Amino acid sequence: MESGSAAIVGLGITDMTRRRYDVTALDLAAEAVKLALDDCQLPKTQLDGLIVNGNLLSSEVRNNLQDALGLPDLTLLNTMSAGGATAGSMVQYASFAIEAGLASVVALVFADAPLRPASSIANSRYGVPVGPVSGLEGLGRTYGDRGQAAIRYAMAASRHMHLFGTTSEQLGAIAVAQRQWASLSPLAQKRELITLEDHQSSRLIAEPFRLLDCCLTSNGAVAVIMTSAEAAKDRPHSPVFVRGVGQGHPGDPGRSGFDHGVRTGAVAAGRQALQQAEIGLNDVDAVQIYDSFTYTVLVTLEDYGFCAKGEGGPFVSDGRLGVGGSLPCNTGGGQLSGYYAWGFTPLSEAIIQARGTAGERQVADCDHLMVSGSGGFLNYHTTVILSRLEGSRRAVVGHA
Amino acid sequence: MREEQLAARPSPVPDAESEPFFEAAGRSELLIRQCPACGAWAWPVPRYATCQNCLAPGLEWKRASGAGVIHAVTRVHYVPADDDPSWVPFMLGVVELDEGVRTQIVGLLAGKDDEARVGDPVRAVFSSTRDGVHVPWFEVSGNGSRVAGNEG
Repeated sequence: MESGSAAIVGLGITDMTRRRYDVTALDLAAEAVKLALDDCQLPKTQLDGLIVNGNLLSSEVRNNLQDALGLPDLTLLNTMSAGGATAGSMVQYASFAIEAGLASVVALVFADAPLRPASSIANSRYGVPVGPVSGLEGLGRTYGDRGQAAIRYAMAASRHMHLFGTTSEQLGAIAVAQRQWASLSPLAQKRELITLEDHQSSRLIAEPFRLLDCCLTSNGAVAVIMTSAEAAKDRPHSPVFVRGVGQGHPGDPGRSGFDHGVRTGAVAAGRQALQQAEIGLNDVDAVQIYDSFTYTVLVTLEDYGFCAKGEGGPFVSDGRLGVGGSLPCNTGGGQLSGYYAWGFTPLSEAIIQARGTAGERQVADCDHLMVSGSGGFLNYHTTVILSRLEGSRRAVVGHA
Repeated sequence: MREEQLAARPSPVPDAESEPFFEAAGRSELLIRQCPACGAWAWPVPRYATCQNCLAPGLEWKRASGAGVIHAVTRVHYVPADDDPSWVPFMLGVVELDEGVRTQIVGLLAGKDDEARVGDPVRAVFSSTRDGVHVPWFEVSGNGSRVAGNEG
């Protein structure tokens, strides 16, 4: 990929400050695409590429969005699935396609409605019983493991605490800092400030996580529209150039000697993305880090190299991530306090910051943003470097 | 008391594939899978047709010692609305077995101090559900001493 050959010109985010229980993911997806087209003042007839975030609860978006939008002339159509890391993969794929001339205007779409009564998450919330599970898969039901993400991330956090002495208070500092940012964002679901004491007194979910370590759930959608760097200059907003994308996917081999969840794919993905962008960590003005849980932020910052492995606890607890801090992190509140749209939460906030339109929460002189996506249970990782500054257009491929 | 609590948990339903595992659990034996080609061990969930190490097919059921250490752990304080809230808090963990392979997330039974920590030695113990299906749990071994899983 050439650094900066493609750019983001359109952004649509449905209103997630209101709880909309009855709307479908497909309706939300179409709404977000309409908002994004309006944002970049392009007619839908200009869209020739559509990429949908997979792994979602409802299949209707990937199956029906093209027809819902009435797009008969697509030359690029795909659904991509790497969990919370998918957004970065979608940006990378769209960049390649635009660079190769396979499509000229590409919409990337995330949409989900986990709070709808018929969804599997909502079934557990509303108490719809699940029957016995046959075979060995039924063991989890006996143990009390229903596949909850909190349990899986708690396992990784327990390793980190064991190895490095990381504390719940240090995780809490991440939640407090992100709520500071959310208090300044009209897009955020949770805007009232919290203290470390609020975090420590919130109810336990799966130790070490308390309620305020966990992300929100949202019915909502985000659409992002990309085009070439040249075409981007004719759009109303300042272009946001895609300067670098990296992937790193360790999976979870389950074998001795591999510390799953403590060392993540962020190491490889971050390095590759920075190399492509031809910048270093010191050039990064703000980070938007995938935050399924507070711990995800801590381990990602370590693996990117902002601090040494094991020093994430002290690193995050000196206020540097919050408003006025030296490393602004999740400046829209992230998924802990802003809105839950998987990799499209950090991606969307990075676009807003790179444009310089974040209002009260705008980071000054925000040239380069590092954006993470994390999927599975720390199994998959993507990193995107976005910038208001054009890239060299050189193809930099790193295998360091 | 604990036996009653564990018996009240939802029972797995053995099928043809898992029958040897549950049958062995009834004899207080822990079966996991081993590759006949390279000898690598595998926890049987999720089930893969080929060895994750050498990709050979035909993994076989083999008896494991049942001994290991806690690799990761959490104490869970909530259940989904259709589960029984009287279960909480309960412990779940990942166990690194002496065979060099990790379990999926399994039920842990705390030691005498009501704790289960990363690094604590554990051994497999077996408990029957009300449906008569035997299920392995991993119990913290006292004073750090290893006890063979089949002696319980």
